[in-house]
Amino acid sequence: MVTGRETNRRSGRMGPDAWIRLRELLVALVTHLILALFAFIAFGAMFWMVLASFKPASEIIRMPPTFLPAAPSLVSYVHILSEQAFGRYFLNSVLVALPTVLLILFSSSIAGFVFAKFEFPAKEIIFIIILSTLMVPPAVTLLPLFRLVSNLGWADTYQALIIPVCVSAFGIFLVRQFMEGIPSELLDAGRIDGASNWWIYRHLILPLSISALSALAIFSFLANWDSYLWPLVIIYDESMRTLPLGLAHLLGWASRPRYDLFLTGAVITVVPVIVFYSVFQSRFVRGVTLTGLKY
Amino acid sequence: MDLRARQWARFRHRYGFVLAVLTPILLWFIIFSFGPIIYALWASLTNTHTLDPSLARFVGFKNYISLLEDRRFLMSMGNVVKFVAVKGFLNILLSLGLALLLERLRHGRNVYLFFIFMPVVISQVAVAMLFLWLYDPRLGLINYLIGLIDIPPQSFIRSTSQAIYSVAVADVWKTYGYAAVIFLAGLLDIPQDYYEAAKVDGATRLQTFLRVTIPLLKNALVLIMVLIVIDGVQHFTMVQVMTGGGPADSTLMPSILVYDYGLGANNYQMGYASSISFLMFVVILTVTVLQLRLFRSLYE
Repeated sequence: MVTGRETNRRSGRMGPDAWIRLRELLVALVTHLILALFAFIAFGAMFWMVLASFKPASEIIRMPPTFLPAAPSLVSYVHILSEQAFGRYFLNSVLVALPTVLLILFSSSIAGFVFAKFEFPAKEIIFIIILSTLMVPPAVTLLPLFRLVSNLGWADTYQALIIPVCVSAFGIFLVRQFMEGIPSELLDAGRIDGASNWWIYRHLILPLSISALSALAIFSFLANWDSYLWPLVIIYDESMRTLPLGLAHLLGWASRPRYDLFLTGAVITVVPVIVFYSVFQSRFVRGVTLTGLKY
Repeated sequence: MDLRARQWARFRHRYGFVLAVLTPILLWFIIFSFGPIIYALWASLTNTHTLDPSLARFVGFKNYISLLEDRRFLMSMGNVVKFVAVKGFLNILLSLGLALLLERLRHGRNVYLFFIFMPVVISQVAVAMLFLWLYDPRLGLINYLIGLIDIPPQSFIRSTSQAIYSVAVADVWKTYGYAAVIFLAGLLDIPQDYYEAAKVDGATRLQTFLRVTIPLLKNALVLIMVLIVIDGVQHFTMVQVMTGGGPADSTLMPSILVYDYGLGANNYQMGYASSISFLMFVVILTVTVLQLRLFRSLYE
């Protein structure tokens, strides 16, 4: 398109130039329309869900469906926070996700540092063995971990949800890749000044790895907030449920589907993530390319 | 200082930090990763009970042989194939198409990406809830909308013939934004000169796309295809929440079967369930290696 316009400008005729510009405009218009449609399909469904959470049950099952709530009400929220313990589920999700993410960041960064900047026997073999666990589906370790964690007496505890997921092979891999790009001369300079490895980690390596670590933080937070299979296996007590578990339990709670509660619970689950995402959008998208393309 | 003490001091100086860091990390991997993997392999060769390991007996490959005659297992593998086929086709079509459109934009790229990527970040269980509602035969938006153009109402996830595809479509809605971002990054990496050169050689748009764009997007394509297959084989959450594997096992996935055989009431057959999980592992490994090989031979 660009070259087309240039040729025409050179030929100096107005007619074809206007045509080409019109065509360009049309192409741009159609492009924007298609993209807007997809943006609408992605966002509209969620927006409609948020609107639905402000409709009473009687309005949700009305046909034809309403878009805006006819009489906005908080009745679903009241129900889900008082008769269902969604406040507690929310707290549980936070109390599991925060320590898990912090532990993943710490373990990945310090192990990544060791693999990136130190030489020791069997280094590559150890690294490849760690990396190879990424290929193993979670279903393989599910039952042995269930047996192990139950035998430790950890069923229905926070540590059962945190400890078995607090180290990440993927995180170690990602951080190592990134830290290998940090010039070793920088660390040597620190060493000559008598800095300890710990000091170098805290004051040189960590600040320089912020972009990799923030991508890792985002993805491990999302994965943990979303985690369903493992909590489903190891949590029985209602008061220990995380949001996804509490949400899924709504399904069996009434004899007919209570979409008012399903959607309100879903909104409570996704809103913190959406807010987080809206603030850090560029980091999310950059994180995908950083973590994905370096597989 | 005697020799041994001096050697020890040198050893500590050289490897002290490495040891202090790697010992707890490796211990964690042994307890929560390598150990359970090896344990699962052993369990798959026994008839061990999930809650009571005391009666476990070694049975060799009996579990694996029984699997080949297990109708539910074969069904779940068939479902994976349908799920991956539908998801792979739609996902790549939509995400590559959108990435090609986004690449041409001069303004507003990030605004569209913001919305298109949004479903990627939200919880699978929440998406499952949303689609349960959209798919509801009587109250759902989709039947209402297709009713407007006189298509009779469908039963979607309540029909044995439509359920697996309906679930796959819901999954595509949630995941194609991820692939779109990967493809867009790949497209933006392609130097503009390549397109100019193709144009000079008189290549048509389609030829340029097939001969320039696709080969240069190879890494992104392989990554997305491998991820779709791995995700499909391991898929649990959305299907479990939306259909629980039903109706009549028509959306049963291997992971759901592992959960059901291993921890379902009246089952607790840890040995048998472990053999399923190990077969999943083998399938994932094989497909990944094959896909990587195939692409290498196609384009190099």
